[in-house]
Amino acid sequence: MHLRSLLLLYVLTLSCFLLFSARTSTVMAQDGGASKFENFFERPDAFRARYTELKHIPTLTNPLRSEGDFIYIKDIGIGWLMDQPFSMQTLIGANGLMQYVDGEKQPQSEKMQKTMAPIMRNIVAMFSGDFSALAHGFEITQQPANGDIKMLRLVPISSNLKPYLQEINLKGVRYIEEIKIVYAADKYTIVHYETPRIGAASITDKERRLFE
Amino acid sequence: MNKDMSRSHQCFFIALTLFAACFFALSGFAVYRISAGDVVETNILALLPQGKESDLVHYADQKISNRFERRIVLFVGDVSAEKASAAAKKIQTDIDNTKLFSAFKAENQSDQMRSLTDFYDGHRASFLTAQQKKWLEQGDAKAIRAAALSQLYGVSMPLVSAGIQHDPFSFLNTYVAKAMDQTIGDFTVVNDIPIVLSDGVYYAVLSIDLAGNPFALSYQNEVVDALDQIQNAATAKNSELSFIRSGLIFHARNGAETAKSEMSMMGTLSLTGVFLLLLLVFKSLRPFIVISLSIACAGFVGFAACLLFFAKVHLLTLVFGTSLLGISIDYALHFWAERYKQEPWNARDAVRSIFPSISFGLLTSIIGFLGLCFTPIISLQQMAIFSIAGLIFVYGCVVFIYPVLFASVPRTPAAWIYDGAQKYLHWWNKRRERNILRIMFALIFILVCALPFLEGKDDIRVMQSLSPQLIANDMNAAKILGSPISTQMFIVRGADNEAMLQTMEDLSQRLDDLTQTGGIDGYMALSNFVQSQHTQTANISLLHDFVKNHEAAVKSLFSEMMLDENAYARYLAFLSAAQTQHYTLPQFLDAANRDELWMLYDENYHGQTLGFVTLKHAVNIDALARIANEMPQVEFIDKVASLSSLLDRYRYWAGILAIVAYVVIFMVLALRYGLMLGAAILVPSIAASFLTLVIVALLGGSYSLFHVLALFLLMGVGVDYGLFLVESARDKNATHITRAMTAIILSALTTLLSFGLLTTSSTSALHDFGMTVLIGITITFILSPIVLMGIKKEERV
Repeated sequence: MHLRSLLLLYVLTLSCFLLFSARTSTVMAQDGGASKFENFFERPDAFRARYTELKHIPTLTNPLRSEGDFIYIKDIGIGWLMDQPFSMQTLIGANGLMQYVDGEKQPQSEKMQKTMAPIMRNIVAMFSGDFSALAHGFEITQQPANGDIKMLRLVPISSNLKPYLQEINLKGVRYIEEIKIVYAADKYTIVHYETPRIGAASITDKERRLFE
Repeated sequence: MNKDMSRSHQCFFIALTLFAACFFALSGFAVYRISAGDVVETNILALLPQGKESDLVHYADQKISNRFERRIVLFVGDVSAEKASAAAKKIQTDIDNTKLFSAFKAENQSDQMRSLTDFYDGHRASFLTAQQKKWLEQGDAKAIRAAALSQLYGVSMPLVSAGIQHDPFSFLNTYVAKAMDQTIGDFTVVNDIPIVLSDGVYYAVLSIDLAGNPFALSYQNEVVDALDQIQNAATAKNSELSFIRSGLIFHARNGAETAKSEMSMMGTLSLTGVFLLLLLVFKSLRPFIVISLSIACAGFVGFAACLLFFAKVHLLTLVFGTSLLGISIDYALHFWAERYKQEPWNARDAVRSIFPSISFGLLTSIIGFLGLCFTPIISLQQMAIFSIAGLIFVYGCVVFIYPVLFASVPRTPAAWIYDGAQKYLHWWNKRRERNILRIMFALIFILVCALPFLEGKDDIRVMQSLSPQLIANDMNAAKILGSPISTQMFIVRGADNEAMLQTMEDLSQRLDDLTQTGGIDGYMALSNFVQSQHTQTANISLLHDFVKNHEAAVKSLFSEMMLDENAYARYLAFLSAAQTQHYTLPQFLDAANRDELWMLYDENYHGQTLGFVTLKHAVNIDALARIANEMPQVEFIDKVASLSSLLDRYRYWAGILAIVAYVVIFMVLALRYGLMLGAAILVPSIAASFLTLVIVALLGGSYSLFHVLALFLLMGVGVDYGLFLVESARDKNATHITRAMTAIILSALTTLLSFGLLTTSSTSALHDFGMTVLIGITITFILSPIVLMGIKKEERV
């Protein structure tokens, strides 16, 4: 009988992990033909652009508008260095998600980091043009082009993610110039990227250090 | 003379009738009790001392543990999440078709999640994390602004679609994220199947509830066969699928299979050995058959006697009680050794010849076991009653039944063993007695001095013998799913839900602190999902007061957030209204609609409300126990530690009682044989006991309860050896002492054959018992003639 009590440890472990299996994260699957999108957008080692984000939330009088610099450094991370309407830095790097509001670091629980990790990976994959990685979590379809502007539609595979994230639309010529994230019919975010610059020189040392 | 004979016959037959009547009465009683219901206790928790604590432990065991015992987890792995999910779907159907498992519930994970988040949304002002409370208490508007804006402008995806007007600080989202933290790792759901990624493989996770008893052997086989077939069929369609199974039933089956194969191997070898030995020596099948039957019936009588005093007999009692009955074989062997008498065979004379020694042997054994009856430990009491009743039965058989059954014995027994006994006694006689005695006493002195330094240890964790393959599966499963859930848990009691939740909130705070310091990886408690009405009121008031007292800062924040100018007034009104709107624990549980959460709650346990708190990877057990000590309404349940400490206590009591038994036996022996001879009779078994413990501790580092229990067998056997030799030596019959030695050789050989094989068992308890008997009996046998030195030379034959 001692066996019975001891082995509970294993069974308890396994069973409890099934609780709330609807918690959000993203699916990663095999390539699924994503390789054809591999060079859909250019994949520079370093990328910088000015961004403008409009967050549409039904109860707000106007969409939330924010502006700042977007930076991407291959193998290091991405960051939104928001300067309007206030100073906020959102960074996704090897340490996970980091946020600073007016220079003060915002607390991020370890578990929250874990939850966000796959989402962060997808965001990084999106900007790095790594569609093989993105195909693990999304069904990717090419939309009819509008002149030079190419368009991709990403629909999450995970059925538990769908109620919270309906689709992501990417637009651009050489680089991604617009991202539209649709959470619900009346709740979405549009981010425009302008004046892109590529190459290591586009990122300052100070900005690089932000990821450390 | 004839009159005397006739009276003797009359007395004999009256005693025989009484003996048979007792046997049949006991048997009838046992049969009645067995047919009336379950009389064998298999739950090890039943060994815990009776009391409220044990009731609660039992209850928690039933409530939480038993659910998990009936659950298995099957991982279906593939490099593609979709393929893993599709294969798992098919397997789910196949599993349902077997009817061996509880049907899979058609759960819509998204709907369940939405129902839960809707509940939170409806009471959004009530939920605050510790950090948020601190900000509100300190009036830290700056931190609240930063947190709210980072949520609003950041990349995080809201788990709860709370209206921003009613949760402008985004407090609820953080609370829900934290609540979910306590539950699981990173799952996703593909076609309603939870999927998790590990080492590049996507595992579909199927949690399957068994429909039957995981300890029923036939059911275990059916389950494993069915799963094998289902897996094979799935692999035939997709050869890249991999499977991992984890669950108690697989270990239980493996344990049963191992025990079966060990019992079959050891039983066959032992029976064959004893059979061949008795056949070779007595040249007849009858001794083997009758002795085996006597001991088997003695086991039944012991069981029946236990049922007279106890509602249920514990499995541990049956296993070790039957082992202790091994002493009784001596009575039968001494009877048979009387065949070496030169005179014509007379069974009644044979019994008469051995009567004093076996009677005294029985008396000393009863004294030895009687001590166990006075311990507070039920299983030890049962073992004592079992062994005493069994020994009396075999004694009765030898005295009353054997003379009738063996009135005539055609063949003379083999001489070689008798010659061997004679040579051995001769060898001892040649030794310089004083030197041997000096060495012996010096040895005993050293051993007695060494004994306090020997470590006794009973850790239930090292008593298991699990399959490495199954452990590897469990390790893989744990690796895929994250930190393991510990067997330890807390039970929180309260007069009602409110009182229980309030206590649980206090406990949660302490557990949060312990999590920070790495004492545990986390925990699952209802207080992580819901709050007491007291806390709900306090939270809403705190929020309301903050908003009211920091009007300018809040209005400024609302403006930054693009909320309209009436947002502040509206939010304040909302908070005022919320102060009277409380939710209840059952309301939450209904909304969550999760068995796993209902499992953590009991609304009526002897008029109290109970909440259970499970722990993840508990490391600092002392700190956990301290928390419970400081909180009167909180019980810390550590099954592993409780059982280990229980065995420790058993070992301590058994050791003390063995010493007490030796003292009492010595007093009884001294009354009959004098101090010197009385002590000499005990020397072999005492020396063997000490030596055995030292050897065992040297080999294994410590000795356990099962080593100590085996010392009772050593005591019984060793004292018997001494008694038989002393009684035969006082008989002044030249061959009597050799016959006694012959019986002792046979007894030692049969005991070694029966128990020595236990040393090969992979079950720690049996191995320990067997090892002690193997070493102890060998030493006792070698030293047994030492008792003859206690008899003056002129008194010896």
